[in-house]
Amino acid sequence: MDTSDGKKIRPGQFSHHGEGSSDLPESLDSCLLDLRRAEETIRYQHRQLFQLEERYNELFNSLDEAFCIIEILFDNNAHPIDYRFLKVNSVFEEQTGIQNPLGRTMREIAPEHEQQWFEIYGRIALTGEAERFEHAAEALGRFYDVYAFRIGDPKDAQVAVLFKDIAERKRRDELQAYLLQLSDTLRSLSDPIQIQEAVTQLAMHHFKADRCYYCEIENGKATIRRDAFRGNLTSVSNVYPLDNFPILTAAINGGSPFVVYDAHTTTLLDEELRQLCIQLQVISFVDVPVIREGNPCGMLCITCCEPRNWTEAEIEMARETAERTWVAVEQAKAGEALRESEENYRSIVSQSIAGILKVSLRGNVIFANDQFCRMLDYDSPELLKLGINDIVYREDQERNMVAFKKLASEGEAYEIEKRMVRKDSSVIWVNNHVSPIFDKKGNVEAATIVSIDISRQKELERQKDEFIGIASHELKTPITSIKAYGEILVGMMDKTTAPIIVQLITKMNIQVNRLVKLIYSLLNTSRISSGQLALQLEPVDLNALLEEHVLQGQLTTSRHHIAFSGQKLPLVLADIERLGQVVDNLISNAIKYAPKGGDIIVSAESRSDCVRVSVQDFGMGIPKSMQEKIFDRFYRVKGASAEAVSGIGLGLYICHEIIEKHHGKMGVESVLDEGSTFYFELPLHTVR
Amino acid sequence: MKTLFFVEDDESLQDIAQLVFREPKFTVRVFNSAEELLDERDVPHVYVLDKQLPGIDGLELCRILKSNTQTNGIPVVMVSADPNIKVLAASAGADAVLEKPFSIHELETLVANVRTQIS
Repeated sequence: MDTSDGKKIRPGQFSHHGEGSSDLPESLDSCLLDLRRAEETIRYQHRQLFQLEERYNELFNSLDEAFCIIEILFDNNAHPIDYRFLKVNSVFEEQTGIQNPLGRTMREIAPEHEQQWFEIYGRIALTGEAERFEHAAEALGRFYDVYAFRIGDPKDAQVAVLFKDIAERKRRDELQAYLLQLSDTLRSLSDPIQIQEAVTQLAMHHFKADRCYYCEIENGKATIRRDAFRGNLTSVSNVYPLDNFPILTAAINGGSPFVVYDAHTTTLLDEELRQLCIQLQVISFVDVPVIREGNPCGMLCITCCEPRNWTEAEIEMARETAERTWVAVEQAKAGEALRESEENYRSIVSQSIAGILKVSLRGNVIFANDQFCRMLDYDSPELLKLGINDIVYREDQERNMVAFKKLASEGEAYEIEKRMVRKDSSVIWVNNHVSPIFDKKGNVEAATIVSIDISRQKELERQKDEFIGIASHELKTPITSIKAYGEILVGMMDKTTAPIIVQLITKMNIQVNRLVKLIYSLLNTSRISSGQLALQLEPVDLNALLEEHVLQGQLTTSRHHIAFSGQKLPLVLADIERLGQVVDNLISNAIKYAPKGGDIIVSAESRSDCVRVSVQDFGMGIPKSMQEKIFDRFYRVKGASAEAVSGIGLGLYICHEIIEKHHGKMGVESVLDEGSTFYFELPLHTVR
Repeated sequence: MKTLFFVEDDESLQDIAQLVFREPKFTVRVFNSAEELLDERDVPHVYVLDKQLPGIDGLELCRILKSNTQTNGIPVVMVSADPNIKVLAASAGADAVLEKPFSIHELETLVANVRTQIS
């Protein structure tokens, strides 16, 4: 406290004049002392204050958030309309972009500033209640997270504001939300057109654009199926040949987005394209291509009717959108194709006139189409409970199993004719084509079977065989007569008979014998097919049999030399007559297929479990492709000489059947133009 | 003169039999069916039967002949187009078998032999 004459005194002390003038020298001292103490205290407090203020400023400026103190200004109706900046910290400028704010008001600096700001601050100033809020400040291009509280004397209406620009975070959040929405949308759609529709709408809104469309690029054409557009704009959905847009095409092929800020002024467009853009109100745009294997396959386009400075972030987001759209569209197309293909196959299988079924390796029926169910007269659930051996005719089961096992181990498809048993135990003949199904490792895991009912064909075959049997049987009797007459005539010939008659009768007998052989062949075939051929087996030493037939065979040809060398052979169980037929046939074949003559070697050798008889010729040979088929019924090798291939091709088939009935094997080894060796093996006769 | 009974319904074979077995070898009588033969009281020196006959077939006839004390000593030759005739004839009791078509020579030989066997 200062006295009027400037001296400092201790508070509480008063000065009075006149009293105790004899105290003056002493009181003056103590006065001075007090004064000095007071000075020190005041200096101390100044220092404290200074330090406090410094600390305050330090704090103030060390905040990483912006901080300011504002004074709220009210209108006549006590309505907050503006505020003035009293104090700002160092971060303030960075967070607001406002330079030299002190003393100025917000309305001065940014007239467009949102009204809410003033409302809120006004409220805080009046109520004294602090508030935490987030709000956009578009005029500054920011978005703030704010904490504001009243400070100082309430009637001063001062508010302290702590704030941070979270625009960046906000943008990121918005993007995340956008991407999430995009993902959800794409995930829920499976139709390619719906996908394009949804994406373009979403993108248009997110980017606040005027138009957005997606192109499918294929075979030099861009197809826009759907586009999103605002207001009075028209749709551009159509098919566009890329040749018409060379500038765009060049940019697309480059693989990077083609961005135009202002169609009016950009140098990227030529006049033609510029006019087109202006006409379509495409003033600024972003075209983002999607590239796969170096080729553009899709493109997303976002356009605005006004010039616009697309940001890096926006272009990046457009690219992200384009990529995701393409992926989703491709997936949807693949899904569609798959569905169509499945539907296709399903209808083929279900409508097929062939029975189709699938069996596991263990022989269980995994699937059967309607036709197959009908073939066996089961319904599907019943059939699925069955296995192979429940539906294959018992006698054919072994043969069937052998073939199936071979497929399982070697993975080769095969065809098989067999009988199947229907629900009512009746039997049908089927021709099955069996193919393996492989798992990812290449092992057979199941088999598909296409099954065709051939019962009718089999019945026809049987009838045909029966007919052949009956016919040839009937033929035998008249043939016997003719043959007999022929022989009687021969018996009646003598030296006086005219040579011409002798000749004719001889020739006639030869033909009759041929006819006999033919009838035998026919009859035997039909007998074999119907299983009627009964063998009369007895222990046989083949040497005698072979020698006899070799001699007979030699009689029929002068161009060939038939040699037989026998060795000691064990006995075999055989039907002498039938086996004789086989040997005859092999020898006559050897003669036929070596028309130029030459050697024919007949041999027999004893092996560990069988006796093997071979007839070798050095004639035209048999091509490898035909070697399997020559034992088929009615099959004939095509040879050079017409004479050589007379006959109706039954011989080898019958021989094969006869040998099979002997539980033997028959086969051929042959090289084209070098000759053939026909052989058969008969099991040894073991005496029990 | 030895007699031969030929049971065969086919005319031309009947014809041939006459030609083949005519005198001086045999006296041949031809029958059209098994029934016709069974009506006959006489017995021959040899029977030649076709398996296929109208009515009772040759095999049955053979069995009948073989079970009849009067005829069971007489050789029976069976003739047939059936390739299984050997087995069938044997089980019916025939003494020889010939499969059609055969040569005359074969037939003659067989008949001569079978006679020799029986006698």
